[in-house]
Amino acid sequence: MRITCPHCGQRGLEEFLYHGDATPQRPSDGGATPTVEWTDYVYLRDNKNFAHEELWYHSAGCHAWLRVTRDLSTHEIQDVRQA
Amino acid sequence: MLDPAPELLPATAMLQPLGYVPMLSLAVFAGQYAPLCAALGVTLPTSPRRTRAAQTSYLWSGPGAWLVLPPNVATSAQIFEAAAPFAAVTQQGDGHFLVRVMGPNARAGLARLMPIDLHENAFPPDDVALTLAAHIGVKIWRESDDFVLACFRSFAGSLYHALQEAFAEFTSGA
Amino acid sequence: MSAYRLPTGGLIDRAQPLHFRFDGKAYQGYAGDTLASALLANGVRLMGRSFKYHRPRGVLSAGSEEPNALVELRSGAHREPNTRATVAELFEGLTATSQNRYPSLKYDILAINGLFSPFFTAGFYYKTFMWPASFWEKLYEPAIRRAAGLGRSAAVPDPDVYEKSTIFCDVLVIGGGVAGLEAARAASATGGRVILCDEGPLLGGQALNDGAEVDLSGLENVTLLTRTTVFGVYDGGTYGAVTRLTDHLPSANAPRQRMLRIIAPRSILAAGAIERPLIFGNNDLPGVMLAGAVRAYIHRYAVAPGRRALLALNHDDAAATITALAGAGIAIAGVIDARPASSNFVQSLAAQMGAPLFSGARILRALGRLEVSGAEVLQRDGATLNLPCDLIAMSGGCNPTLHLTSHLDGKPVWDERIASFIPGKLPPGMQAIGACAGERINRNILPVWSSGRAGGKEFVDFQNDVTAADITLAEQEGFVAVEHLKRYTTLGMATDQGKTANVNAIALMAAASGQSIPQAGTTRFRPPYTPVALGALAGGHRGQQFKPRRLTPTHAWAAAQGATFIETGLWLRAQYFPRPGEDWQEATRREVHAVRNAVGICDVTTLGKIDIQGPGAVAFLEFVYSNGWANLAVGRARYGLMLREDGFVMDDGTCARLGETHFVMTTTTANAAKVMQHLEFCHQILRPELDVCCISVTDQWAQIAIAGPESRHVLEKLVDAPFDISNAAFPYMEAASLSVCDGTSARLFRLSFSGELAYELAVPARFGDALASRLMQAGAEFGITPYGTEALGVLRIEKGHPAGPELNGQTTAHDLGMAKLLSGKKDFIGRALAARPALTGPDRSTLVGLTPLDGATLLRAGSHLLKPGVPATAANDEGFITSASYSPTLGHPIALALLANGPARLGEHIRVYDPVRNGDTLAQVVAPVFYDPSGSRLHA
Repeated sequence: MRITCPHCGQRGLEEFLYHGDATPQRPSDGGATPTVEWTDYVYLRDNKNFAHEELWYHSAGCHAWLRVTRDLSTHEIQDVRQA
Repeated sequence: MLDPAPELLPATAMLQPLGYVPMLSLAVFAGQYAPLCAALGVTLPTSPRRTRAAQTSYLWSGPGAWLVLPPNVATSAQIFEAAAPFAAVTQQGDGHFLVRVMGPNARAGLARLMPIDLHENAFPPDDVALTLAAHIGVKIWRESDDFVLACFRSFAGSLYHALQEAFAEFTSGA
Repeated sequence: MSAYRLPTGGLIDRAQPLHFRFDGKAYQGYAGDTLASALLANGVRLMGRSFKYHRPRGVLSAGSEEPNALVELRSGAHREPNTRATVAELFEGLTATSQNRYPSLKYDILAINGLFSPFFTAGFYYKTFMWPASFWEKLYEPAIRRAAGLGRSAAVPDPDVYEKSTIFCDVLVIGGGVAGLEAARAASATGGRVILCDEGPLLGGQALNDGAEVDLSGLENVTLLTRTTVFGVYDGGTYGAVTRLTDHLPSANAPRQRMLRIIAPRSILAAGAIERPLIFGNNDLPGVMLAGAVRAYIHRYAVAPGRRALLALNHDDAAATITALAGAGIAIAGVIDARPASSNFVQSLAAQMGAPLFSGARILRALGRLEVSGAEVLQRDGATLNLPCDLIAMSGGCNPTLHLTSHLDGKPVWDERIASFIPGKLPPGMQAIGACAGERINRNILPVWSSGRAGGKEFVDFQNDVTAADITLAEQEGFVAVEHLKRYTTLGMATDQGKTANVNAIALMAAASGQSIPQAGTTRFRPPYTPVALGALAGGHRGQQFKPRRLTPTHAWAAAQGATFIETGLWLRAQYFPRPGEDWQEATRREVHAVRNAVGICDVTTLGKIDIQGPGAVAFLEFVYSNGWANLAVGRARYGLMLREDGFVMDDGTCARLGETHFVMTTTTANAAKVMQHLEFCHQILRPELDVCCISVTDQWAQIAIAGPESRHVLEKLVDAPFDISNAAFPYMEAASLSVCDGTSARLFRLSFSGELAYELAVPARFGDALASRLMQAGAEFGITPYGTEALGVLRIEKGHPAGPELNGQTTAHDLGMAKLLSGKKDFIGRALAARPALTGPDRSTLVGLTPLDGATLLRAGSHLLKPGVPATAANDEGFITSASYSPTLGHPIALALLANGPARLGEHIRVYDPVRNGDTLAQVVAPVFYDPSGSRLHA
């Protein structure tokens, strides 16, 4: 698998670390209590079989966090941008 | 003053460890790119390239980040002071090991260790890349026909050993 | 000259005779031979015994699809099992041994399996060896293990050297036959970088086997890689290939194989086609071969595979074998054409060569015991006829070699016109041309899938001994889907992956189950196309080069002191510094004693150091740490606790404020990279509005801990005036930049992991070695001792400091007694979920100390904790020991443990249960600080 880092160009998978689905948003209520929003944010993920946005870290390169749109059934990477 | 550790890695025709080189890292604060460039008198590269101003090289090392290679300690101190109001600056000379890779077989040997395309057209002079060599994080750039690799100092022995193995085939009489 | 070698022709070099041995017997061949061709030239036809039934087998093919002639090549550490004799290039001194037979190829005891074959049908493993259950472990499994498997690998480490390389091009051409060469020529003419790979040593593909001319002009700008198999297609235009650099040489002082990762946005698959056998009884006898292989042995290797041949075919292209046989002086006993009306092409060829033609006829079965002696032929009118022969060349058609096209999930499609599968959806960037796209093959084919009458075993998969009857049986038992058929019968598995079997099998299953062939479909092909040595996949990453090693700045100095080193992640750290005659325990106790009573030094460079600067630095630290930072004065350091977002502890360390907006954070050694990634995530994704920069300075600074009651006295000698290092001027947790040793810039932190008066002194890394020496000099009068990670560990356990074993990813701040480090006033990573009731309740396993009740029994980390007197079951498990050691300072063993509701149980007796290491003792629960609980020594 190859990812085109917007800064460094096309690189192999070994240069990146996968974080996960980019969709969940961190609740902005300050986190005083463990609400359902918080547990959903940390644990709940949709099981997708289509293109979605995910977060990758260019660990062996420029250390940029990237938002990658990738189709999970065809592996086709449709878009990569700085997160 | 304490004495620096001796350089123990032997140079070959194709591989030359560079010894201590004063280096700085710069990471520009928000909105300070233009003032920083003005203070240093150089247009800092915004893509993986190397720019030279006087005898100092500025290497792109990430969005808003650069590695600076001044020619000597005095210039390094000047740059440190000039940049400090606009960027996070740290010393990095001790933190890195640099090795020059030379000769007609440089690309063939490096292809055994590195996952990027170093062909003349894909990696022209003054290009910079942040990538891996033998699983070790490196910055690589071109100085005319030579390549220079920099890794964290603690990896020096492992990186150099990997280079020696990769270039063994080209070492005459081996 | 050997019996079957033709007097002229072939691509062999008759000026270079080569000597080799097979099953101990000496033979001669020529440069350019394969082991198979050289054996055939010497009249050796029996080359192996089949996997299950131990039937006598010879070569079926002339290529890498060979299922039968699997030999053990070389010996000793270089021994390679399951080598296909058809691709093993002959070299001087080659030794090969046949496999899967005892005591010899000719007289194989296990051929008796053939008698029991009705019991060894497909799936027999699922129906036998079930009863009685007790026999399984003692009898059945050992017996099966001895009988199972094909080939033996060398049982010693592989001494060969392998390489890996990543190469780039614009177009990758896979296959160096006529179609591939032409494509490479055209691609390079447009100026791009072109690589062409072929698995064989020569370019030309099928043309070489047919004795045709090969045009090698116009390839100057193409990188030609022969002996290179492209074995896999991967995402992103990535291809895996392996080049056999020296397998064809007797020995070499060079890497044996090179694995290539080829990055190519475009590829052209010109991999040709593989012939499929006809299905008739005993079609596996030595002397029954694929028609294309017969032509290859004649044209390419100048070998006559027999003296009197039958040719069985169902399409026009195999008829070229008639010309080949005649040209080699081999008598043609008959051309058996399955088509009721043979094409004009075949008719005229047969007539020209004087070969009797039987149209609308089929071979029912081959005759012979150790090799073919004739065939029973069913003629069009229904009469049978026995034709004597010693060679049967058979062709049921050719199957495009499309395996690579389905590595990324493309399904092949059935092409009725050629009665075979052609590539369906191709991997991105790939184009298929020539025979592998179904072009110019199987002309006028009439597909025949079975002989029509069962007479003797009719083999479909030769390597796994799967017959047509097995396929019928699988269908009867409900294993109809091709993926089920494969697993139930093992058809299509092992080294050849069914290259000569799959299409026949699918057709038979389709017929048996009343489906069309497209409905039956194919199994999914996966890399590798042919077997790849694990050594090639590893390349140079073996032994010490498996992963990189990181050395501390004082490594050379420590080695000179005789230190024993230990791996901590990628780092090598000094573990202990034994004096002559000391073992690790004695050394460790001495080092601990020295730190507690005098002074010791320890390299702590490996702990991650991250430089954090910017107007947003304080807000950033407040966000990533659970405790507060805004009120930390410049020149002070503070312990910080970092949680994961799920509320569990991720890492800890100290963070020092060197300026208003300048901090230096430390992390544990193991988590340095992970914390850096986490900080970048928190900044770039979660708090991009904060103006802060983080950069690693772990390698920039050599950092040495100086610990013990005499540590200040030692440092006083190094610190340059006018810096004041007195207790009043530089109290506990103070941090400063200064100069030492007459002008070396440094940073000093008064931190203590040991619990003694202690400092950490950092100098630029190139001075680390010299600093260690200088410290030892300065401390000599105080009895200074270097100490390693072993003593470091004992000291911190005595003080009850949580470290790696306690920060195991499953513990919370509450568990570790650090609840007060969770600020109630701000948002931070992990705040919300750390407050979950289940993570703060009393039944959580929380940190306690343990001492053995008898004052002497060593407690071991990993031991479970139970109430005394209750059964030792998982339900009664109340916790476990995380860290344990003998305490030289206290004179007895101690331990840190996580115990349910721990702090409320001080004084209780608990059972320490360690069944794996036969440990079972009682301990007392105590507070998790064994030494100087008030911390008075820290402030001395």
